[in-house]
Amino acid sequence: MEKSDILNHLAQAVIDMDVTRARQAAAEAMSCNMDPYEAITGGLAKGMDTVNELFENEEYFVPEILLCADAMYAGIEVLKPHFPKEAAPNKKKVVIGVVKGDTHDIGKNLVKIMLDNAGFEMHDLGRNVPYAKFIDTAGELNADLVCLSTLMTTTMDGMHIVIEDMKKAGIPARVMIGGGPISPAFAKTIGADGYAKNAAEAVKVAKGMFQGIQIPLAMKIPELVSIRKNRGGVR
Amino acid sequence: MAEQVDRPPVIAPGGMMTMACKEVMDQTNCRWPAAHRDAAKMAELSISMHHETGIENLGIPFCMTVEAEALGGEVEDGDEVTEPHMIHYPMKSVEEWRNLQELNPYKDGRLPSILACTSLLSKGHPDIPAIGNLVGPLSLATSLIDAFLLFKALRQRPEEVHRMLDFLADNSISYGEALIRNGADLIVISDPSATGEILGPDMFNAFALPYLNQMIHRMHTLGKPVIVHICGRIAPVYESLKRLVAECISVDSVVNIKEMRNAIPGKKLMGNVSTILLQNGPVDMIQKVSRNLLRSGVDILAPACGIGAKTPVRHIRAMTETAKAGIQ
Repeated sequence: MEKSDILNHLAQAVIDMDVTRARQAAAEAMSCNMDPYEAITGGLAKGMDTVNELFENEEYFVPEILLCADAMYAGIEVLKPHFPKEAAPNKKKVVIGVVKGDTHDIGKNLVKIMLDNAGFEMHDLGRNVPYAKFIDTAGELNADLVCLSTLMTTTMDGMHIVIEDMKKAGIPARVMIGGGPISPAFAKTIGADGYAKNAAEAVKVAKGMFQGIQIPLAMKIPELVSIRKNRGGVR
Repeated sequence: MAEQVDRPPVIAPGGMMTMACKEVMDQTNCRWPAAHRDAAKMAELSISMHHETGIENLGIPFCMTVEAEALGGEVEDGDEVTEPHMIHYPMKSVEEWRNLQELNPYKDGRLPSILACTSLLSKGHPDIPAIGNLVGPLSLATSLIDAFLLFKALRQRPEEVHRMLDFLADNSISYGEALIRNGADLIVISDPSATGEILGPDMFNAFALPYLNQMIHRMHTLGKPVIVHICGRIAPVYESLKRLVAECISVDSVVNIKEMRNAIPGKKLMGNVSTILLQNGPVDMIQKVSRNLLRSGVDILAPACGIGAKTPVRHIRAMTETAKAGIQ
């Protein structure tokens, strides 16, 4: 099969919300020795770009976006073992989670996958995570970075508490925050070291913090986080 | 409401649209989280909010988790400024609604305290409207199962979702009937997850509208008016909302009232002072926004969402006093 056909299949499977076809096309790409990054940028993520356009044009809504994202994840899972990984000793440790009071985690999951692929060692605490859990885990692991996410305005203050408590506990890890209602100004106010508006930017910001890690990853991932920004006030 | 007024009333319904703030909790010593499970404290906090802020109703509870808890969801009560929220969903797939026990409003979870409190408010203050708060079936479902699983099921298992929503609507109706029997003067149904922005018009028509109307019809049969609150942008569902049988629609701060007034001429509109503005101020901006809303033709002036517990009383007063001064 032509390379362009495989890439089209990858993209179309995402647009059609078809997990099975996304897996098949990803396996096909690997059996043709395609660069896994290209399978993502030129295939799965490209499909997700179209999905975002459909969302902006109000042809697709959240249920469709979620099923398209599932197809994309399924494809990425097949490609994952083929990614070149950074040598283990250099890996920076990252603790990630959604702050207490919030159970929305699609944005956090994307950031986790992206950072994992970018060569970070990820420790996922899940969602609705109590403040102390971030501090305890970061301390135990001697983590380099703590990533905090929230989609709700009512839980934003929790990020501030985590940062304050980390300082009090003498945890040296840096903090990156993101999520629907978060702005760069808010990040600055509460003393976060970094802010990312979406998963792709999270990789850039995290890499910028630790120059040692360099993986050529120019992956364009859909801005699922920013898409949902208007839900900031939803309870 | 009890009587005709010559200006739009200013209210904060309670439920998802929480009406309590910490300043009044401190004054009355009726604090969160204890007040969530204590009918007398709940009543005193609601009445004091009415007196201190000028909000023209009484509204309980202070969260949107009571039905979900009564149906088997696990709730964490939060702290003095964080409202109760779900920490465990009893369902892992939409099929599992069959495992849920039908709720008994006089027995399950916090429902008996809410009913007792409603009765206290209604008997003690017959002149102030006491609002009974319900959660719309789709939003109730998002407190019983992971929202993303539910949204995906709308496409993957539509028939099963319909059966689940039917069950949830029946349960909410029996709780709503109990609220009315205990003195609720009107019903507010909050359905934040059933927004046109999330669902789109087709799914809103299929999964939100019929069940909301089912609930509203039943409340009407008992002689009570109904307000429905919907979050987010609602332009995609203007046409659908014309078919919503509620007297009044309450909207989020992103909605332009003038535009909505033109799009849905027949309905009373309630809204939509930003709760972030209410919390942060300044006072003159709150007054200005409130005046603009009154000029745009809101029939009820209200916060666009739940009032943040850290909101200062004087900020809420800036809104209520503007409504009471009227617009020249």
